[in-house]
Amino acid sequence: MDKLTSMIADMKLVVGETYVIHTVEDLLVFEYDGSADKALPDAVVLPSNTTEVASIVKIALENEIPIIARGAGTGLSGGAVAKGGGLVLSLTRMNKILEINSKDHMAIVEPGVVNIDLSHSAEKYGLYYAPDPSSQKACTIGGNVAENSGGPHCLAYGVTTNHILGMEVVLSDGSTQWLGSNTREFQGYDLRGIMVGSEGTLGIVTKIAVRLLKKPESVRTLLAVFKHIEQASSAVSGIIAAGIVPAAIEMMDHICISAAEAAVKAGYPQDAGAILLVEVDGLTEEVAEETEEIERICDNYNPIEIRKATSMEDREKLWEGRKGVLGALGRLAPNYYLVDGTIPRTKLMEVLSGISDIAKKSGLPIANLLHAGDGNLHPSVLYDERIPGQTKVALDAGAEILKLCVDSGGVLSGEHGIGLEKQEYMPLMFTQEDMDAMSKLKPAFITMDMLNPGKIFPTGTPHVQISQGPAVARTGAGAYK
Amino acid sequence: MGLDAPSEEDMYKCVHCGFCLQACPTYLETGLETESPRGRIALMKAVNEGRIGITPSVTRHWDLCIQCRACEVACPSGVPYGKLIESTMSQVNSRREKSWTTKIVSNIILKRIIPHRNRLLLIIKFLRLYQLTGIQKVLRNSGLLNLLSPYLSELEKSAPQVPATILETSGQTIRAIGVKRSRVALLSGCIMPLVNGPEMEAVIRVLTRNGCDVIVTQNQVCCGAINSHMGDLQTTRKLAKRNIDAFLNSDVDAVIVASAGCGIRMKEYGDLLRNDTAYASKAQTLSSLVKDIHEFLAELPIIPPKGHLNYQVTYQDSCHLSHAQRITEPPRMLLRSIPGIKLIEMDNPSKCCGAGGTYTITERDFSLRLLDSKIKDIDKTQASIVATANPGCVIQLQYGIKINCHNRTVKYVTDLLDESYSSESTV
Amino acid sequence: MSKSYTSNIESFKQAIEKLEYKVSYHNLDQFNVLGCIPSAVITPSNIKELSKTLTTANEHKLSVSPRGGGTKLELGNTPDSLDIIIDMSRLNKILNHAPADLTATVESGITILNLQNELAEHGQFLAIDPALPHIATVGGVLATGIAGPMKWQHGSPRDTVIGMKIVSPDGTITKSGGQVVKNVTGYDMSRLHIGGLGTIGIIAEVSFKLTPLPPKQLTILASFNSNRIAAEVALEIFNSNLMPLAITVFDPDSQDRIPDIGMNNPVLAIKAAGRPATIERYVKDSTSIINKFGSSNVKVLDQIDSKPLWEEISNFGWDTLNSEILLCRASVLPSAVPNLIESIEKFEYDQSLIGKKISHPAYGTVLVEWYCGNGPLNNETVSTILNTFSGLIQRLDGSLVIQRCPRKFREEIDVWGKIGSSLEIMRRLKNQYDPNRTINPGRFIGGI
Ligand SMILES: Cc1cc2nc3c(=O)[nH]c(=O)nc-3n(C[C@H](O)[C@H](O)[C@H](O)COP(=O)(O)OP(=O)(O)OC[C@H]3O[C@@H](n4cnc5c(N)ncnc54)[C@H](O)[C@@H]3O)c2cc1C
Ligand code: SF4
Ligand code: SF4
Repeated sequence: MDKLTSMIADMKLVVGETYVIHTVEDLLVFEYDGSADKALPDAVVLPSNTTEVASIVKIALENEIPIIARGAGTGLSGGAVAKGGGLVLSLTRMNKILEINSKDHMAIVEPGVVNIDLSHSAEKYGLYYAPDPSSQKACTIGGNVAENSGGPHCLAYGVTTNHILGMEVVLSDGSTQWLGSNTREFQGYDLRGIMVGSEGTLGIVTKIAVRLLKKPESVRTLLAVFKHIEQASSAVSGIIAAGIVPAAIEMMDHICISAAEAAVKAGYPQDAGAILLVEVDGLTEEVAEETEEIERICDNYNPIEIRKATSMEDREKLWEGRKGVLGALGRLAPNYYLVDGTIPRTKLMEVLSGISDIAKKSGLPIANLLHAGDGNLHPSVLYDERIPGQTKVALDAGAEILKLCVDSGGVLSGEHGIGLEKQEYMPLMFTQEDMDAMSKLKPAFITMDMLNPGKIFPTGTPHVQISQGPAVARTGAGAYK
Repeated sequence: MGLDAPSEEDMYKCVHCGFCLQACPTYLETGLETESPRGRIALMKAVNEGRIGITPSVTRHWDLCIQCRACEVACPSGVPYGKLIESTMSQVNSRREKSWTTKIVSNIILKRIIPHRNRLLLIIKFLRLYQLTGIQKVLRNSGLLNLLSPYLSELEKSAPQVPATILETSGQTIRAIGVKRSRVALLSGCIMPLVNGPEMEAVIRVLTRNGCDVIVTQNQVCCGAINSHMGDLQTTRKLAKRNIDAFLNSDVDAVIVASAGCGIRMKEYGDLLRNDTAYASKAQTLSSLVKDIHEFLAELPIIPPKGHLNYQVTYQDSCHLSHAQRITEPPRMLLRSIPGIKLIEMDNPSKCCGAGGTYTITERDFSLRLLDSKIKDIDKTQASIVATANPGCVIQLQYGIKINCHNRTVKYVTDLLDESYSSESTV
Repeated sequence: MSKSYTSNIESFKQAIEKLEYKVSYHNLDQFNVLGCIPSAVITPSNIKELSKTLTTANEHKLSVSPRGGGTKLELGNTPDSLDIIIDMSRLNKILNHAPADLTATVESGITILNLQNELAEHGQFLAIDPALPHIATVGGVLATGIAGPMKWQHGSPRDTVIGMKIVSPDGTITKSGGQVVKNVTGYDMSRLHIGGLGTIGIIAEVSFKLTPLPPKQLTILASFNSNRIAAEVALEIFNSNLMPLAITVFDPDSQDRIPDIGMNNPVLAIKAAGRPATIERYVKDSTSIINKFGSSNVKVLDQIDSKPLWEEISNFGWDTLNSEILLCRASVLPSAVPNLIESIEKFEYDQSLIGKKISHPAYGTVLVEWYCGNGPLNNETVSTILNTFSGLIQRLDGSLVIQRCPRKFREEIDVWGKIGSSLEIMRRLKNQYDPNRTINPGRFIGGI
């Protein structure tokens, strides 16, 4: 028996026949995540509890096969893609909410719990889980922790790391540890803070203690429509300068508007150059006072229209358009390459005009979707992977945008992580010393480089080559008649 | 690539974002990407790219799809999953070794019985005889069925009760009551008039009560939904053409369909026959005339019934109404229009009950697992009536309620409307 | 002291003097850390000098301790060794303040007060309010990780940092994070240093995200018959729709330094901020909750009048240099605070002790300063206090840190308390980043 076969047999003893996947046909559906990268794993295993995870980790260690943790596979930087093969450890079966402690505003969940399910379950206590990635209907809390995900409402309430109290992790040697605590303060180094955003390279997260927030008493959503994207950007700066931190300020350009409209009919005006979606929440009085001021500020920049969502349904409709827009880009082109740079808010105009130059040069349309309030941009290059060479053009355009962000004092990734996608660009921001200092975390967590190896840090292989592996290329004539 | 290959254009609309995962009943049940819409599309792509063949293990994942099309609603990219799986199944069907149940279903029932009203009638009459004469009881008690196959005996229990009334389809016109507001044709369907004769008559009464002349068009045939579900697009096209010929002759404002599965099939005739020079445009015309009964009544708008019905009702969205036709509010609106009815929403009302056309026969285990979770959600509502809009769902839910010994009834929304209208006159 | 050691010191001094860095050998005992007296104090004037100093010390196998304002040197265990103090006071510049971006980058030796003053001119502030802001430095506050009462609303110091420049024990300068408010590029290294007591590297520069100063601010005070009830009211506010900047419970009776607010019984102080109608709502809702719990003694102070009160709350436990204080910081779940306070009070009564307490119930923090009713604390009382207290906290699944402790009792205890198996990871971390144990050896948890 070769190593893989015996390992598969061992794993079946741990999790049962059904939950070890190893035929080529079945492995195929684990070769992708939400990003452009693809690679076929050697096997996939779906444990149902921490003990099983620990046993699997030990088996993998004995067989010296690397482990790639996987949540819902919605990641946008290739974090869950088994580059170079390996064992994909999917946590989707570990999806129980173990405890909601309404008195202390916290919950303990398994990593496979879908983000929005936690908020739904907390709702009856008047609580919710604040980080709300647009993918919240699908992505898992474990994936959120690994990527330190953000969302529209992170402007006021902070990203994932600000909401994690503690977590249980299984390390590469199969040992299980609890990092942090359920209380707000703890002793020693902030290991849980290190684990958040470590993209599955330091440990497998098997339980998570999170903070829940009180649902705001009042929420108001404002849609401000502008003729030009410049006006919308100025309005954002105006709001920030006035000392207001709304719950969210989102911006979409006209490409996004038309895609979103086609997908969900959110009622976005089609003739607009850009729209702002601003949400204010809190006490009724607070919301009224702030909305009034935001309206006044927006008015200074000649909006075509300002619309206020009055009912819950209107509000949900407006947000549905925003949350679905990325997926909706699929209506315009079969593929999009989504860039995730963050820039200082004051550089917005400058960078947007740079992006439009890049679009012209590449000949590919770029749709701009922005968490404008915190300067997190999502320019999406639209392309068709089936047209030879187009993927490269798209990825190159993305790289140029990233350079532009870094040159403007910004960073490579605001919320999607580095993964495979941006690893080669790390030197734009960090020196070798900086990266060496980061890499020293791995031995401290005794990873032996068996967890999600070959990610985050540069390897010297251009990204285009990585993402255009044999997986994407047509390998045969196709079997349909 | 042939006519019935899944369209490359549609396939590559999928950007593997995963938004559809949590909408998919088979993914939720298994937690496996292989049993998810995104996974199924990935396999379609892989076949298209020549990376894998249409092997039994690939087919297995497509077979497990209930074709409830919940994923289509969740998909922001607008991937027409229903179309994709239909054509994929037609590719599968043309080359596989079938299990005996699938064979019986697809070769005998679907090809030879359902398209022919007389043969179907014969079978139904037998079934009725079987249920009425007590042979059913004898057989059940004897355990003979169990001996033959536990599967068969399981299945037998979920066969619907066959009523005495059978709807005639001889081109008769039933006149509107009061001021005439519209002239409509009614799809009688293949099984509906036989097993749901009384319910179909209720539909007609509701329509006439709302000022519609109703024509039960002659020469109409089965809409082809079950055939296409099983991947037999050829038979489906044949049936579609016969229906187009039948209905386009009747000069009506709308073709009313009371079964959600048939409704979506007919609304998609245009797409089905898009490459047929003779029928393409006629198919489009018919498709645009087709209206679901709830949709139609809501738009008309309905004359609110006045008869008081003191029921607590929960509404199960039929997949082919809510997901495929995106009709969710009209049936609820109609229910709310009935005085006295209290509508209680169950958790996950749009999650599939497991009926899925022939799914309940071909994928019995899975179908029952889904039914079980549906029954649990229904249970929590304390409602005495479960209303829904599709015969498959009615049969499946009735079965679920029966095996769980619940004191509930399953009704069509139109049954309740009819009941309210008719108690009006007696007041 | 071995000979080679002495010669190391000497050659280090020569090396530093050759570089013409500011170095002093006078009044060294003023720079003692828990009684350990250094051999030299170096005051680098920029990050390069800081780096070179560390490289040199590391090469000479000397141990180094960075010093900010020197306000919290008592936190932590006694150093295993101490040769050089690096005085950070000249690294005190604001490198960049981008008001429109709500971000700022500063050198870590700047005092909190100086930074806040500069920010206030642009209508902004840094959302941390530690003890002794006129002396405490950014670096010191972050390394100890101890924030003031405001943390409930704005999170801890961890949540305000967006980037850092660190000088490693061998002098390497590395950066992590950036100058934007949302960033997941690379590991979040600043987490290691915040609350890490400078045991892994010296924080040289920090980028912060800032908060706009609220248009209006005021404080609602109410007194109650017991600390327990005051804490329960605090939790009721925590559970309401209100999100005040701070909710603190204290006992003015036992707090000689709290300014006179004309209340004698346990007090609940609520700091509210916002626009006029919002503030009014805070007063209205808080008052009605307070009344519901049987108190009608409510007072509202405006921002200026309440300032000294909040300063003293921040300073609690750290405002005297008297190192004979036993100061404990407990962290439990919010709902456990009322019981914890009551248990502490019962214990005080049984043992004839005085425990001055301040708690931030919504954050689950209780601070206690222990005194003996009749004279100084002795060995026996200290060990009773610590045993009982830590037992109590353990049962509540919380954590206990002894922030200040009379020197003579330090021998027997790890002031950081016990943690489970994750200590092994922490030890490996120290070993990775400071294999020679150059910076602050022995001061952190488990003798790290
Ligand atoms: C349409 C769309 C919109 C999106 N919008 C946002 C957004 O608004 N904000 C945002 O931040 N992101 C967004 N994302 C990105 C993505 O949803 C997030 O990164 C999400 O957190 C990934 O979660 P997942 O469960 O899908 O993780 P996966 O993609 O499965 O995995 C992501 C990473 O986490 C690791 N991982 C997963 N589970 C564990 C575990 N238990 N222990 C250790 N490591 C683990 C994996 O190894 C991998 O490196 C979006 C994605 C899509 C497709
Ligand atoms: S049709 Fe239904 S069962 Fe099939 S993939 Fe879509 S959601 Fe899943
Ligand atoms: S939601 Fe649509 S685009 Fe996204 S994975 Fe599912 S089918 Fe593909």
